[in-house]
Formats: sequence, structure tokens, C-alpha cells
Amino acid sequence: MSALKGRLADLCRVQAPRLAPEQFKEQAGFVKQLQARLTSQNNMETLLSSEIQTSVGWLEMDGDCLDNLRAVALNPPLEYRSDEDNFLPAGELALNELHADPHSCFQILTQRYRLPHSILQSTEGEIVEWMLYQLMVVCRSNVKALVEKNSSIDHILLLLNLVGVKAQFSGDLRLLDALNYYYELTVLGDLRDKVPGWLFASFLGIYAQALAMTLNGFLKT
Amino acid sequence: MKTAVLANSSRAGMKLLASLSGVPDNELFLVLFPRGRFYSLQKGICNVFSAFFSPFAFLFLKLVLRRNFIFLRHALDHPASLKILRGHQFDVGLHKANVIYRESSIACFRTGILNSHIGLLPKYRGRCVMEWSLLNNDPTGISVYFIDSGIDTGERMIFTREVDLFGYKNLIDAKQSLFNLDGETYREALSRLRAGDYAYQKNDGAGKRYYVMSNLFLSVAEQALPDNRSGIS
Repeated sequence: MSALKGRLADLCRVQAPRLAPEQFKEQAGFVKQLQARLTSQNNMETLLSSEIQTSVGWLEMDGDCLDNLRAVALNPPLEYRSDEDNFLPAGELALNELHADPHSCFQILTQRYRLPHSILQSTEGEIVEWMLYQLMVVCRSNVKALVEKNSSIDHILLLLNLVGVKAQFSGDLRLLDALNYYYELTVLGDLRDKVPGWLFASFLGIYAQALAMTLNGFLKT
Repeated sequence: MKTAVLANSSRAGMKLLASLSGVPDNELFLVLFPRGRFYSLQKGICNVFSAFFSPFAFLFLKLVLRRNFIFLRHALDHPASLKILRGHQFDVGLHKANVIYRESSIACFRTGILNSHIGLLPKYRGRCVMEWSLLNNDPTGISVYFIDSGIDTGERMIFTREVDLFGYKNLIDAKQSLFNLDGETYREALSRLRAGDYAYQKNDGAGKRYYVMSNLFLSVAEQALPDNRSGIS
């Protein structure tokens, strides 16, 4: 537990202040807001509070997948009620559709997870396993090269954001560890200032929530 | 039984082979093959000759003289390699390489290829399974099973055995101690196969596949080693 607390403290108190919102162009406002939340004096305590209240149900979220990921990153975890478990993401998705190029994969996943919390549905287990495999086997070895070539890694960051949403609620430590791994690879590695795009900032916000939710889970048991 | 140790490194292969000598009714072979698609001439020669500069030089020489050393220039699933393997009609292969096997390669061995996996199946498949077992406060151990083309999904397990990790303060030493048991576990598996003294336990694929672990969780797993447990918070 102390290791997770230490990581959360590092994220909120050391790394988040180093974000430079102006680098995120049209999403500078979002990143500034996220940075303010992560670095505020009582943020860690709020995240670790087991009395998180939310006024927004995940099914009522407006906007597209990316809008909603920003909203999730900014707000404490949205409540997820099991009576909503019969909501299914749009249509069936064959895993072989996801083996297309990163751009197509990005499009397919953002369409399917317009409501990011729909990844929590039991029907999505196989896709989550696929995401984990992509992150920990396929993308892990080439992310550094992609960043250094200034290539887009949005598809990897999208996977991290979605896996992060799942990690908040699932208790499967493999999911949280994928976030740990990429945090170490990017933020604690030498890529912190090189990873492009606001999806990187939202990953940090969602990762902080996942750490806090896992800690809360340990505290309850 | 004709048994082939399948290795990418002659030293690693010979180390395992040395620990298996003396198993009754068992003729041992070393099959050396590249991790990638093929060996460059230089790499191949270096790899073969490094065995002569190892503690197993004499045993290796005997193996070469008996023609029980097989050097494959190409990957194991290359048609040329498959032809050589089929020609030898091996009964069983022992995994000591860093590759995932294709069905075509596995089919060259009458009973299959055995793996001494350093995790307890079916729960722990994949990588860093010793560390994940420690993190989850589960027993650590070894499973010997026949490989298929998946990641630790081979259904036929010869046996599983819990192994305590007392006496180790760090994960590297603890993990190496499990890897070092491969000679002992393969010996036992070969004895059981020869005697028909086993009933396959089913690896039903119920477990999860695990991946490389982050440094954060590695530090937690290390604290969960039996000798370090007093420091857990």
C-alpha cells in the first residue's frame, strides 16, 4: 500500500506540476484544469476519500469518446451501478477488426467507447485482454522509438486511458500495472517532455484515480 | 527414449543436459537453433565453440563425437530444420530456449515438448509469474507441462509443485533458484513418462496471462519474499 501511496504522491506532487499546459495547444485549458486538480493541496485526500460523490451517471455523458475521457480525467471516478450492466457498447466487435493500422484501431475504439465506462461491461473482457496484450507485448517495445521519431502514439495513449477506466473498478492488478509500467517508461523515463497530445495528460489523471481506487479497495478489505 | 534439449545457447543447453545424464533408458541430444530466423556464420560458430570453454566441455565433446549434437542454422519451424528434426524421430523435447513454438515444430516430437514453467498452472500463465504470485500472496512453484503454440496453454501437465522461496532476499536470486530446478523437474518428468507413472493434470486455461511487471510492483513483490515479509506495509 505504501508503494501505491508513494506513486500517487509522486504523480500529484512531483510530476503533475511539471506539465506545461501551453504545449498542449487547443487542449491547454483542459491540461491546465487537470494540473490544477492533481496538484491542489487536498487532491490526494479527496481521491483517497471513500466518500466520493458524483452527480453525473456515466450513461448521461454527452460528447464523443475523447470529450468524455477528458471529463473522466478531470472528475473523480464516476459511479458505476451494476443495474446498468445491461447496457452494451454499440454492436459486436470482432477482435480481428482491431488488427488494422493504428489509425483505424483508434477510430474503432473511440466509436465503441463513446461512453468510456462501457468498457466495464462484462461483454468487453476479451477486448480488455486484447488491449492489455497490445500494451504489454506489441507496443511496449516500440513506444520509445515512436516518440523519438515524433510519430503519433495516440492509439497507445487511448488504450492506456481505456484500460485506466477499467482498472479503477476491476481490481485486476494487471491493468493497474500496465499503467504503472507506462508511467515508468514515459514520466519517470526520459520521455516525459516528448510524449505528444493531451491523451497523455488524461492518462495521468485517470492513472491517479486508478491508484486511489485501488488503495481505497485495499483499505476496505 | 530419445530426448532432445532445445536451446538457443550451447552453454545453457549443456548445463541442462549435464543435469539429465544418468536418467535410465534415455538418449540425450542437444539441438541448438537461433532465436531469430537464422544464425549468421560468425554467431553460430561462437555459440557452438563457447561450449568448449565451459565446465561442460568434455560432455559436449562426447556429444559431438556420438553425433548427438544437432546444429540448426535456421529457426526451428523452418522447413530445413523440420526435416532434420523429423529424421531423428525424437520422443520428447525439453524447452531451454527463448522462443514460442509453432505446431509444426511441436509435431516433430512423438509425445511433445516439455516446459518447466516457473509458475503454478493453470492460474499463472505468461511472464513474471513468480513475482505476480508473490504480489498476490499465492504459493510459488513450478509446473511441467507439454507445450502447445499458445502462452502456457498446453493442456497436458505432468505435475505441479509448490516451491518455497526461503533464503532469498531479492527477486533475481529467487527466480534463478526456480530456473535452476529445471534439471531436477525434467528428470522427474522423464522418469514418470518412462514409467507411465502419471496421469495428466489438465491445464484448463482458467488462469490469466501475466506480463512484464512494473518496477513499482516488483518492489512490492520483493517485499513479499518470505525472508522480507516482516517489512511489508
